[in-house]
Amino acid sequence: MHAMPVAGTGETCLIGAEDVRIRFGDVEAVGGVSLGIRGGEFVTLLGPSGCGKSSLLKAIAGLVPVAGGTLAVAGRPAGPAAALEVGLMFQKPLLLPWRTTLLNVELPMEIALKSSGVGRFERARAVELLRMVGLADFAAAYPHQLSGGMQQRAALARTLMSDPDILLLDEPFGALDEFTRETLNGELLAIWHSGTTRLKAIVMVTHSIPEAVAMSDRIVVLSPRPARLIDVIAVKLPHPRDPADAAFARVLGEVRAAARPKVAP
Amino acid sequence: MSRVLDSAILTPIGFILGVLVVWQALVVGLGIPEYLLPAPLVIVTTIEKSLLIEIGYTAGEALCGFIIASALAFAGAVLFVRYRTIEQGLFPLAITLKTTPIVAIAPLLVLWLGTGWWSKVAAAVLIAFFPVLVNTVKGLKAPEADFQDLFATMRAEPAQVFRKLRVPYCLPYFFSALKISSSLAIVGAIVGEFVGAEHGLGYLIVISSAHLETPTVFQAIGAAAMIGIAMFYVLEFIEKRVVFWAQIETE
Repeated sequence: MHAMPVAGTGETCLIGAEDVRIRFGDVEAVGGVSLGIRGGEFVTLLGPSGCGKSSLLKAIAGLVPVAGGTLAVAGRPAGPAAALEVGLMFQKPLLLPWRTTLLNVELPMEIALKSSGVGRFERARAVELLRMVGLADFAAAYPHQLSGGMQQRAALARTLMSDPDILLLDEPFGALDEFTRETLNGELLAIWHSGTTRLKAIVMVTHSIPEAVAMSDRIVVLSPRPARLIDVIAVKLPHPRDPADAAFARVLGEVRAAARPKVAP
Repeated sequence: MSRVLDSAILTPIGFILGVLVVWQALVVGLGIPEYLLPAPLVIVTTIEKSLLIEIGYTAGEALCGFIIASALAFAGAVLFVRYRTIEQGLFPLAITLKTTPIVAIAPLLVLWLGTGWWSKVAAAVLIAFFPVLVNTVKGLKAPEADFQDLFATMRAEPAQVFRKLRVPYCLPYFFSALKISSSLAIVGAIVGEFVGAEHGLGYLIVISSAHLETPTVFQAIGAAAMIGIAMFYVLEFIEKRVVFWAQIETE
């Protein structure tokens, strides 16, 4: 019923994975995944906890080496030499506790400029990003003075500071309560659709099926470890998506059926 | 709030005063000879101005040793963490030196450096060095893997990871070690003075106890404690301002 994933690393694919395998010692985390992600797409990697989906994300970010197959970002191997800027946001905010929110957001620029501070242009951009994530009044606050949700907003602003082409999200709001999480998911979509950033694609890892349906254009369903591709489901619902909607429920059921563990023969 | 603070300060003061009163009463009531246990009033009223000079010597030696030890230990920790080979090579040696009692080494230091200032400073350095080294190494290695991944996604160079992540991250560990080392440095200085000196609280304790001038011994002990307490609180004052963001417990 569903088209098989786009294979190959052709020009049309922003991220091209072909039979990607990732291994940690003797443990195989990802067991041969082929996948193509095009510009303009919000793609979710959905799978049970510990299935290796985070490893796949980290491989796209160049943090984890690929043991087999090829993984290309805009036609070049993933990693420091990647042709496009890749931003990765973690489940934990990972803010530096000795820096104010503003200085945390400026960190990627400081590192890129190899300096101990940033110029007026970068400062203005950091302030603008803080405003975008709703932290304009907390620029001078330290991380321990922020709530969990605010810390994650700051982390999002920091990730956007380097103006990435591709945004990788590793269960970005997974540690937050349901209410905060839904709010932040909504704001993330608003930023994505606003077109004020250079973002060309978002790849998000989650184990929440409703979250995947609410956010993505395509859902990549992965098996338990080692992660293999089970199905790719396109979600053709307009935004904003209403979980109470019948069409939403239908897609939800479809994804659930695909993700359901298959009984061993 | 201020009532809580008041009782936090007043309660210990009350207890200390109580102990002193009981001590005074027992010594006077039981007629304990002064050379065995002098009464608190005798100890306080016989304080001479020259005690300040001896405090100055010991505090100076301890502080000098403490500062040298802290600087060396911090530099050593940075080298250990940046160059694994140095750590592998030197760590066993460091542990061996650490487990050797300072009292056993002190005579050697006096032999090499004389009975003056530097043998005491050296003893203070030796004893204050290792807690700072060990804790700072621990702190520099403390940032979790996720933080290192974060810096990797920003394409940070190793020197940047060090400056912007590892060094600030280790400061709470560094300060908690400084507080331990400051009191150890005083131990080192006094041990050095025991072995051979013409000045200092250690010298005063040795000479006075030999002459059964027990009140002076108590004065010197009290003074040594005061130096330790003063250094501790100065460090805590600095710590609260430098690493105000830290949550790790300091003990």
